[in-house]
Amino acid sequence: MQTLQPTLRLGRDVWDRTAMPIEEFQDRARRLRDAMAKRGLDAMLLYGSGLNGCGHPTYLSNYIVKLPFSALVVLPREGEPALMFEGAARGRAAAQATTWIEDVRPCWNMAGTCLDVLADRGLTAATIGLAGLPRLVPHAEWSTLAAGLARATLVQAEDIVDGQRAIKSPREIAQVRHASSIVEQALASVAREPVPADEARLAALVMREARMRGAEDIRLLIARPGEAEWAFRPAGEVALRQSDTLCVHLGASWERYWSESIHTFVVRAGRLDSAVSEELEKRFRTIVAAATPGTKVSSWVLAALATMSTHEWEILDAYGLGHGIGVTPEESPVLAADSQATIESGMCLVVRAVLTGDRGFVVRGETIII
Amino acid sequence: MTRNRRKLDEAVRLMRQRGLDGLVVYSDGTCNILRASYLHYFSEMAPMGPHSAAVVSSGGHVTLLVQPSWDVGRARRNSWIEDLQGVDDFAGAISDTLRRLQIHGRVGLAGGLQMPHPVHAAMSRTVTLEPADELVETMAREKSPEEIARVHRCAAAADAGFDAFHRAARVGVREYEIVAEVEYAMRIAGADDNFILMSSGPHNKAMRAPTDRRVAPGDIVIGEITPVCDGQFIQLCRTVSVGKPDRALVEGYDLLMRAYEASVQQVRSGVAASIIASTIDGVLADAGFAEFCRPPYMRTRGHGFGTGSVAPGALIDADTDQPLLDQQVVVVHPNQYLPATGYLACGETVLVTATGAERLARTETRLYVNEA
Repeated sequence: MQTLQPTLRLGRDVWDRTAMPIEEFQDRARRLRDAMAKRGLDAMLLYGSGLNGCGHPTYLSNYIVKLPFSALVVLPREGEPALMFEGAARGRAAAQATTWIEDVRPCWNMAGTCLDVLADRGLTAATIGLAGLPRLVPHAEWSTLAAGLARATLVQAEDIVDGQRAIKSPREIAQVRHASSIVEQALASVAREPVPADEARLAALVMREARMRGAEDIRLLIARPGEAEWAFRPAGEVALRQSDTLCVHLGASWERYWSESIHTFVVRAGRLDSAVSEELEKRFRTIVAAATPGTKVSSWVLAALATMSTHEWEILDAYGLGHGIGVTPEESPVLAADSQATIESGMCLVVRAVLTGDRGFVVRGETIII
Repeated sequence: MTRNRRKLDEAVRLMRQRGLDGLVVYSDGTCNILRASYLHYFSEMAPMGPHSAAVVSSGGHVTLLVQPSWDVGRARRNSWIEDLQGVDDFAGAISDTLRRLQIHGRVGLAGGLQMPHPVHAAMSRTVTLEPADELVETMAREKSPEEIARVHRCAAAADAGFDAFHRAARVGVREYEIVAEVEYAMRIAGADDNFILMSSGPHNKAMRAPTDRRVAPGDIVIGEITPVCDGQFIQLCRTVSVGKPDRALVEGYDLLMRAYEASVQQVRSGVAASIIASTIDGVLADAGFAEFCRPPYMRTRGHGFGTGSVAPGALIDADTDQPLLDQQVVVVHPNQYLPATGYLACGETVLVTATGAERLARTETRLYVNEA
């Protein structure tokens, strides 16, 4: 789910090479190169920008942007890859400590640096696959890059990276599971404490719990089903009172990998109790159980919608039934009725469900692993 | 009528002065400590993104395009702009809005450095875009009483953050746990976002994101503690010695304090911003550390802070000639790598006035000591 992005990814920053060894990334590069060979690509450019949009370069390099800047990996079909990122030269050593790629180039001119890398490798007139370009690239950077690659053949190839990222390896799944445990324990922690005075304090408590458990990045939104023009929004200085119902959306990442959950609470006797009923839990489990490998996403979405009333679906419609999750909080596949994707083993999906009742509606969301 | 026409009137005046037919203030939804948040400043709403923009016509009409579309209610509550649209297809919506507001010809673009090519290309089919960051920077130069109040609120959060940093920097505590405590304290004190870098060890080389490392006896723990309140940043740079500091640390920090105090004494409106850097560098050079005042050891001695402006710059060095202006918010930090101690953090944020620098934080800048 889209959220406000922090100004800095400020949590625990560790590359555990046991959990995610270099061989994992080399395997990713090998599979990308296999796909490149099938399409006749000599190289690929994997571009990302900002804390939410840097998935492609992070997936291949393990490098992560801390500030909302951009990063780019040049992956030749043959030869060594190169990582470049927006930042000062003094950041090179820190970046090298987070990636297996040896050619690391901090820069303030991404397009020019990319052209230098391609020239170094004799690829300025090659057939180059693009992932994240020009979709995310600032106009001025793209103009420079496109002009510098006038002799090259540029081919859209983002689907290669999206497709590979969508199916997680066992190591990736272990990281997502860890992130999920952080999310669930952070949300559970607020139910153990007296209810805070307001939403901002509730958010502070949840985020502290997640950080203490090693969260690298955190996103939190709140919705009040009782509000006239309700929507998920950042926590505010809005008091929490007896009988208030609030939905808390929490996303957190652990060593690059995200998980997301939505819990609905009701304030009772100075505590936050879960508002998720057996009926909603059963509905949620029914939807999840239908997400089996080989099922078309479109068919699965229609089946999920059939478990909800029109009103319930309208509540969820703006946010959707869910999406893939991994090195970014939101990635392929989007769980929509017009999706062409098929559910496959190894996918990590955010799934949401809603149930209306006498006191409004209750939302339940969770990250599941196929 | 809008609730607050001051910004709109000023934007229209500046547009007409430049002969612009329209102005687009764009955001990709990111908040960067080194860049002004033009749309946040102009609309008074923190944009989520991935794309949002205010479109202003020279006739004084303004529309705010909001993504994600479900966030339009928050925009309605927070922004003074009354014509709001939640949009899914941003490139299509902004082109439609330019047509609807009858904006043709030359259009200023603020925040354009972050605008992705497809959006820029779609707009360029309708109008001729030209950079206009400085138009919003000009508007943001004079701070409103509300902005000054926010600066002080943010300073109080920074004090709370440093108290937490000081308390947490103890033997056995992991670096990321220190950051968790600092972030929590600043959120409780009113910060809605935080920028925290730190490092621990006997000889730190730079500030960075926290790791698993546990604080050990004899460590020096350094931190850049930066709460954000509705887009306004305040920064404290602080050092804690875990255990009795040795002579090198005491003398090194004393040197940094002298550099800090000498530079802050120079701060007042009208003085060239470079004075901050040259004064700090001068004190350090006199002590024999001139070579450590240059890259790769040092890059900047401070920078401006503000939602709409980072004036006098995102980097204040000996070449930054712009004069400091009244009511600017500037961090002055003689953070320094010294061979005997490693990197030390020292500095804080001040408000520039006609008579000098007004300290914003309550907690003082000095070397703090915790028991080992």
